[in-house]
Amino acid sequence: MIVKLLRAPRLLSKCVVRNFSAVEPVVNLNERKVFAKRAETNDPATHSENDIGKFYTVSIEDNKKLFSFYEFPAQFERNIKTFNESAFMIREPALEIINSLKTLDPTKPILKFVIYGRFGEGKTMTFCHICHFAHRAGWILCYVPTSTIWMRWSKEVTFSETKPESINIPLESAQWLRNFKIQNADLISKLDLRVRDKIVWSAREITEKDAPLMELVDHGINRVKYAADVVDVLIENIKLYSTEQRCRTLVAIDGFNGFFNPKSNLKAPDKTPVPPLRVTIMQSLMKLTQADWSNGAAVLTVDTKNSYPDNREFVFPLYLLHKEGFEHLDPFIPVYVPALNPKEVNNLLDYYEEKKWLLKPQAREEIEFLSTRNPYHLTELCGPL
Amino acid sequence: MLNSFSNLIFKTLNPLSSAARSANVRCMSRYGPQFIDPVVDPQEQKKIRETGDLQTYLFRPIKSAPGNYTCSHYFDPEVAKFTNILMSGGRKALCRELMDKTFEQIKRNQIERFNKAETDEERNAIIFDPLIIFHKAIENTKPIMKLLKIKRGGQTYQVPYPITENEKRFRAIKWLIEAGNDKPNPIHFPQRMAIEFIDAANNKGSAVKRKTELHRQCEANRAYAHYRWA
Amino acid sequence: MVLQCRSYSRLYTRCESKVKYTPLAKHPLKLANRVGSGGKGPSQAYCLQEMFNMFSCLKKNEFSQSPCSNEITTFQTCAEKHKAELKKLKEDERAGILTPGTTKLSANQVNLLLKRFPN
Repeated sequence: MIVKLLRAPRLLSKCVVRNFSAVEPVVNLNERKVFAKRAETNDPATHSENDIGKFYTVSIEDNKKLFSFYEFPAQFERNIKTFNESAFMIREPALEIINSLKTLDPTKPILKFVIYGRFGEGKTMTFCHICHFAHRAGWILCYVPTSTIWMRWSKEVTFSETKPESINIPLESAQWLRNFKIQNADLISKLDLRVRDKIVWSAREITEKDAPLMELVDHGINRVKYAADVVDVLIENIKLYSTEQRCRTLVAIDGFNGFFNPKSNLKAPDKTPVPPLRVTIMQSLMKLTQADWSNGAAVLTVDTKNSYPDNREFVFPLYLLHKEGFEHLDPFIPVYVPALNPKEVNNLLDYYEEKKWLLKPQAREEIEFLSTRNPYHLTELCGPL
Repeated sequence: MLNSFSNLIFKTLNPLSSAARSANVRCMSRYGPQFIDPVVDPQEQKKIRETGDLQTYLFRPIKSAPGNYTCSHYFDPEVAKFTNILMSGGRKALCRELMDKTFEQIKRNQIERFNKAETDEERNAIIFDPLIIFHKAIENTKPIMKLLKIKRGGQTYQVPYPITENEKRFRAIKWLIEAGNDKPNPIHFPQRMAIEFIDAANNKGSAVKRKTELHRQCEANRAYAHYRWA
Repeated sequence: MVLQCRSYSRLYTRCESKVKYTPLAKHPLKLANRVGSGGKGPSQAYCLQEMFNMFSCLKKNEFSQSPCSNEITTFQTCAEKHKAELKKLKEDERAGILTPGTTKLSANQVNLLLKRFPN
């Protein structure tokens, strides 16, 4: 599409000068010093409406803790390595959701937000922004980057022993528990949450009542066979503790519509097809998005890339979640992430100039026009310049 | 006889044949000699308006620009030439994407180098602009002469001969692409080409090596130089 | 036995009396109005001296081009100049222009002259 926009051979033969910006080409980069507008603090809880369009940086430790496994879009990941910092732009949908989370009523059932929007316009980045806020504010984070990793690339598929007709993906469940530990271990040990009931895994493996919750998680990581069941128990415990107001939980699932696809690439050990909801870890996570607990929130995104190829025409939640998903989630708050406004585009281009990424700032209006203010396409266009 | 036949065709296609030939228009061009090349770059157009050369353009018919030329501020005709030569099977969109990714990769490599550099001197010597590196690389791989095969007395000799600007550019681009393709497979083409461009801009790398080997061969065969005319 | 006179071809036959060979009818022994093309034209070996200068400089500097830029530019300008001269010559021939006083003429130029002054 972008290639087609750049071709205009007929008009060129008339020697018409285009009405794009007539900034002279910059020869000496040292002369032009541009700095992007940044927020005053790097704490997402303190940002307000005045900070919309500005950048704030996520520290390296937070980055490693929260976002080290498939979380960021690939383009952003490469840029973090090149610019030596991960800078988020503060945008309106994210601020809206964060404000709602700050003023959450702990007695009412959970709030559910569904973020939707076109490709490349900032759904995942908004999502990561909210997760960072929750982590800084001391919430427990149940984070699922995408379900496609499980549905397409799972290495091991076994029958579940505790749930009939369900399928386990033990390695991926253990990986999720590992991530959960990295993200929440400090918080859970600080809050001193413990296992509710005694669980007997086998003749020699027992998790006692009132054992620390991280011991349960460690058990799941070490004994991969029981990882999926550990996830289930963990989720039940977290829900109970949230409702008792001992902790606050944010359920963050990127690509929630992947849960409701009719098929997946997995095959059960007896070669039967496995739809996503037949997998135990998906069922456990579905429990988290039900409205039967309180003092928490669920932030979900729906994305065309998580849905089956024949279901990618529109971006709206009802279309992508199908009837099943919509009825499960209803009522929820849909949040639309639009393309950047001119102020935000300006700041983003300033940021790339500051980082010596955009080396030829001659015709910024041209870049803005060609990318239709879509941040993904804007970054792609600035790549070779 | 063949000459007269082609002359006949030429005359029927273009009635201004002899005038065309004397004005050095391409033989089978649909444009007569009165057509002039278009000016695509908006900066150049501005200059023409300012300096008053507009008169030469106003009252003459202008050829249409090639399909891959744009009036974008970021358009470069040498990059367009490179993509054309890189293209195979008519997949121009793929080649454009590859060029974009190559330039991006050049920037990332240079920024990495900048961050690793220890002295200020090293840091100042690093060029970030991929287009400057691209132009420098092509300039450094352009040969100054070519070898012609001349047959004399049953033997074929390689004779050094001067080379035109277009052919120099073509040779340079071809060598760069071949050098980029030579590297082992798991590395993607943009990464390979980025390394090749940066090396050639610093006068290292296999494309520049090929050029110097050609020069060495020309120098070794300088005794046969007069075979071209004897 | 007398040989049968059969002409197997016009030129090759055992009977000389049957031969009808008139070579001079089609190609009379007379000078033509034109000269064969090719052969040594005015384009003699050009720019050889500049080329050799360039080579010796390159060899001295181990084939790095930056110290030899002068020699290279002189060679290139010489080559371009000569190419332009050749082009002009061809154009003149086509147009029928002959500059008086040139010592070495190309085959085409000689033909032009012969056409104008046939005897």
